[in-house]
Amino acid sequence: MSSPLEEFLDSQAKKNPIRFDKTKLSWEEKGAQDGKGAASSNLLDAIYLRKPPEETVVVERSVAALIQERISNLEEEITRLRARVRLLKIAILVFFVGTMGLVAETIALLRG
Amino acid sequence: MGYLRDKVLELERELGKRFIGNREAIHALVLNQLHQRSASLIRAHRGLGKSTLMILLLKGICGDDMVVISGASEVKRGEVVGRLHIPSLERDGVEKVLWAAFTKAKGKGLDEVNRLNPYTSANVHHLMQFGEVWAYGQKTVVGDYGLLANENPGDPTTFIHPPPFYDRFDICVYLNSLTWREKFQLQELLDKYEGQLVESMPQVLSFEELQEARKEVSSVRLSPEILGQINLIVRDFQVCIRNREESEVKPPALCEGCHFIRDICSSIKEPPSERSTAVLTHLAKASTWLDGSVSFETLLNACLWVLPHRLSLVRVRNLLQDLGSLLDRERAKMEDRDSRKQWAILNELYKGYAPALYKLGKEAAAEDIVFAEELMGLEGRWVREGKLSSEETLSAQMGWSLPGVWKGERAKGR
Repeated sequence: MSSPLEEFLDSQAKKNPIRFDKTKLSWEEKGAQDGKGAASSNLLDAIYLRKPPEETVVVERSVAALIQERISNLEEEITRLRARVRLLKIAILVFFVGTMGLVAETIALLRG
Repeated sequence: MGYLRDKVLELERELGKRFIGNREAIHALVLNQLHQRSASLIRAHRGLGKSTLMILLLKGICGDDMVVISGASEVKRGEVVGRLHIPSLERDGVEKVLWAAFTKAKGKGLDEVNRLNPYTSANVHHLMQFGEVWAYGQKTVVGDYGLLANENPGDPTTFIHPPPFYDRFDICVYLNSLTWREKFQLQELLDKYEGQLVESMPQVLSFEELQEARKEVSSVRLSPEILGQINLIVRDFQVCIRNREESEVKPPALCEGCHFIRDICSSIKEPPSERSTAVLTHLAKASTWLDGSVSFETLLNACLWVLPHRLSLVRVRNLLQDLGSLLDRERAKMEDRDSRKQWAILNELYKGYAPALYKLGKEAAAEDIVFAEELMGLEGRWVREGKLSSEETLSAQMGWSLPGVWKGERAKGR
């Protein structure tokens, strides 16, 4: 190692060491093995099958995208349902007013 | 070393005794004195003490060996550099130049630099660039000096100086108005010195001592990590995958549809010059020498003095705050780089091509243009060596290219 660039890369490699054996790259972080070669934490199992999640959760990019898509779908659904709830509230209000009107009309008729 | 360091610390203390508040700016100005031919710019609105601070510092390092020229007064064409000795011309027909005191003095002050006429600013620019001045076809070498200038950004100036002129100033510090508590301190101070703040300022160290200190600072060796961080910060503020520097279209129009549209680069219209790297290195050395250490945070802080007069942003509401938020993003970017282990990956890739590592490198390159540039440089080598086909490269897949590289040959090969 001679040039400052090489010295920098070397110092960074020492600071964040990685292990590489032709096909697999791994590194240790805070005592736990982590990295691209390591398996993900099965976050989907934890969410859908209610399995207890690990202490540190590693999420694959595809799983993160899936969760992101699911959240945006749910948000859209919430917006749709909120609009429907609002409509139903108005309908209930109209029915209530109508019913009250009918009741009042009936009472008035009964009284003669 | 200890003696000179104590002297410089004493200089900062003496300045602090006579100038209330703005401690960061004072420290920056003192740090910037610790390299040869230093030039500092103080920006502040009227009445905030920019001229006072300039003269205090010049007195502290040069005593009476200083000259202040004022842009507000009439500085005649060329007069700041030298004038012709008329008797010699009349008597002997010889053009003898009498060099002006400004060129000879070790301490040089430029008051209201934004009002300097183009002739004077051109002379000063040449002085800062080459360390020499010209008048009547003759030149003189100026040697080492300390130059301090000030300007009011809110002043509708007579002349607008070009960006390369401002780029010659190593740092630019902004002064703030005093807080309520500090105003009491100023009143006490004015009473104590009976309004003679500048006159009471002693020469704390001789210019020869300052030069000795400059030599010591220059010999400080920075760690590869600090050097790498300096280069990364500056590169992050310069880089553009669409080569903004040579493009006629500038951000934000240039960034439309760019993969890196959310990156720091998309906020910068004109990038800082390469001089930023040299100045940050000087300041890092000065910090190590004077304060005993330098860290990534020190560098980010120094960027607030090194970058404001060297770059222009796409949208500016408050230059220093906008720059501060970009530096916050820079901090996060550095953490991301660490978490991606990309330097360790690049370190392995420099040793040799490995398909699995290269794949990870490509993923990292999609997140970081600076890394992408390095990887594209390696790709070029691997393609030439036949280890990689040109279709597999980032340039081919993402449509990126290194500045100055023509893709014609590679396109022909496809």
